[in-house]
Amino acid sequence: MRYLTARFGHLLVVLFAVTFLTFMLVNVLPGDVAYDMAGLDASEEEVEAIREEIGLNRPALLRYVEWLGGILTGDWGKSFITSEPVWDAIKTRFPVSLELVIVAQIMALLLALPLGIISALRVNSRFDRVVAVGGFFCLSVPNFMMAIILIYVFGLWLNWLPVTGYEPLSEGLWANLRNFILPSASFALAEWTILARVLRSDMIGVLQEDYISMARAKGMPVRRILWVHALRPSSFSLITIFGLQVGALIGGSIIIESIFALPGVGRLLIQAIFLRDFMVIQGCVTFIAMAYVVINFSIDICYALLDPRIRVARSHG
Amino acid sequence: MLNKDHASIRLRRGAALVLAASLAAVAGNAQAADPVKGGTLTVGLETDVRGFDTVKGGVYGISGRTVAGALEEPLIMVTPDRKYEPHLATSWSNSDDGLTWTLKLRTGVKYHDGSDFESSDVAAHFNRILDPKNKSRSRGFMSAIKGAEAVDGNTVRFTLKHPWQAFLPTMAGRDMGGLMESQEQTASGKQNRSPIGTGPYIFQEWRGGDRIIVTKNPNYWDKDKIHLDKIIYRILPDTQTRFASLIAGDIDLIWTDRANSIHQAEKEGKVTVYKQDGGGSGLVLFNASAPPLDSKVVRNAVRHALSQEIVNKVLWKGTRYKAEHPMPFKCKDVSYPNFSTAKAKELAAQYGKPIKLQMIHTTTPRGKELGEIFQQLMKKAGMQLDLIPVDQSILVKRVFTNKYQISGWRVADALDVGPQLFGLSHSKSPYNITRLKTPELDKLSLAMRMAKTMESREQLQCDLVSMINQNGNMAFGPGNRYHILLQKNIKGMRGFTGGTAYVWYLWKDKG
Repeated sequence: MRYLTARFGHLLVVLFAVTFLTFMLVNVLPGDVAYDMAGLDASEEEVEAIREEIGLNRPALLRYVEWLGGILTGDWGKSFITSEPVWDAIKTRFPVSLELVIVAQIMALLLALPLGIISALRVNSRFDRVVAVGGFFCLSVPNFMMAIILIYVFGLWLNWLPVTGYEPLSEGLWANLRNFILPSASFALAEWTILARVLRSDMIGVLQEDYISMARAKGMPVRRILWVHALRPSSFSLITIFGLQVGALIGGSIIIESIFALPGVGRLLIQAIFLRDFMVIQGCVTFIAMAYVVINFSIDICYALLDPRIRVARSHG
Repeated sequence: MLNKDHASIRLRRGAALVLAASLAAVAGNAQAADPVKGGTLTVGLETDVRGFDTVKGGVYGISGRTVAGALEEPLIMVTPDRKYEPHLATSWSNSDDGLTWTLKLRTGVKYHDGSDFESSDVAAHFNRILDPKNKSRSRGFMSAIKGAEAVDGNTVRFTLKHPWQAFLPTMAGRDMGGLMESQEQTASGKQNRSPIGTGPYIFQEWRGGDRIIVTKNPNYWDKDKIHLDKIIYRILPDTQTRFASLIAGDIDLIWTDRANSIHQAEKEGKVTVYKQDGGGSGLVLFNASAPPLDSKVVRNAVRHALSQEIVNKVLWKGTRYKAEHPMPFKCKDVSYPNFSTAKAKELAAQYGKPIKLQMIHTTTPRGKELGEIFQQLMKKAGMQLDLIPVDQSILVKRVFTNKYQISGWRVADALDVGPQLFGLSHSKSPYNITRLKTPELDKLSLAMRMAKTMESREQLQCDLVSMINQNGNMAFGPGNRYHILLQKNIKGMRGFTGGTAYVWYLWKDKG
């Protein structure tokens, strides 16, 4: 309980720092949203009226305090541009970003687990070397480039999958999933390499443990040894990396969501940045920071579930 | 009294606005087969819509007009060759003194919620825009209107401050408050996100940043012209993504100003490329309030040094056209200063001192490229141009606050660019951003504003542009040319105004 309380305290400090810095940085960005909103044909008076209306004439610190007060009461403000409540905008877009991350990580794990385990089992074999070379190739291609390659091959050339778009689950599972295959693969083709290499490395060590030798001596099938007895103790680093990747993907999906026109939080954020829609920028950054903190917190809990020694150590301070 | 019962007024004279070849192709396209009923059209939008309440949503861009046109309608319809035809208003007349316009409205028209469309709706709509308290962006474009009143259930009268021939273009406009929205929905504060109009399609769903879905209005007053069951507007801001989606068949129609996409589409022939010239134009501002651009000789030296043909060739890869003025009609002669490095050198020598100038431009690739082209052209003419890249909003701010020498700008496409020309020219206008103030410009711009006939208004616009070209405080061009790219089975494409494809009249051929 003490551990949870401490973590919650950290969470609040991180969120305060992130929101404060974002608010101040956005305010010193060059440009003036009032001019953007007014357009080229507006007079100075109209621009001034807009500035007054959206509160830009008041000190940034005062506006931050007001914004913070709003957040604490559930009011995330409204978009300067579309008048859409920021929380509504995030709420409708987050499921898209979440699904993108989940499908991407499932794809990455589906590649990383078998390839990492087999590579650990056949260290320095031809298979191991091919996986290593293939993995480093995937890792070296930036995900936006991977996205363009995938669009060209599977969207424009083979015409198997849609290039852009999003259908909610209510339109059917396949209608929904087919739009996520290419964007998720753009992430997964880079992410799996790190997961597979970490797993391989940890598993090589675990496979040399006495209890594994004992299992082998008893004639236990290799598949059972690997999946039941070796995988769990080999997955601590994997889970850490996995957690970091999930957090990074939520914040880092800006480019992929833009390329594939997925209406997620990343695309909302990038559009808000271009339009200097401060309230939306602030809301998105706060939300992404919260997601990071919650994910890291969840990873800590996962450690405790996987290894009782950690649970005991933390409960004793 | 100019009675309007005998069909529409022909406001434009001279050559056709629309590219003849494109129109011929389109006419053939539209007439080739009987329209097919049903189906869904998917349109790629470059931006999300800000909202559908005229006051809250501001002024529509192309995306807004393309969506709003399916839901809300203007009182008067303008044809591609600029004839004004009845729409929600069936006839109109202007009083002899030019100060009153009276419009008869179509009876039996209903809003999507089943309520009747009446003259009180029209009066309330325009009075709301005109009320300074509401700070409507559309107000500036129709400030010549004093107010509107409902005479009876289907007659509405507009009172003007002065004779104003821009009245009809304003009523036919699709971006300046000309679209009729439900007053009930507006009063409840819901119109901005859940619009109700009288249009051929009914608003169904708006997934912010993703799509807007509209479905066919079964009670539409002109239902024979409407064929599709549904239109899905997908928001695809990235130009490459939008084009790739069209080529992959994910969407049916886009518009683009990216020369590479246009040329690729024309070369490959997988989709139809529909072209149409519009009004408005690119614009370069020369600040005449401080040396050395307060000198007419210097301004003209710079004007002769610049070439819109080169800008079109390099920056737009030939996808625009040479425009000597921004009006959507032809003028006989507007004293356009043609590109001549020799003339520029001669004028620069006449000035007698080295000419060093600064140009602010946006940080976008196009902004940078425009600055670099100008820099090279001026260098050839012996003048120095330093480039200052700034953010778009900073550029606007510097222009309005008089902190620039040369800047890129534009004259927005409109059925009547008169209000913009007036703003740019009259000494008392806050929009006189080149700060050139002369009694001649004032006199001419006022005469244009208060012209009693459209013919004289157009002639005075030509005269005004001619005077601007002689003064050298602005450089017009290149002209706007719109490119709509659509799948081959999409039929019924017709000419349009303001770059806005009338997608609600299209149909989808099953073949």
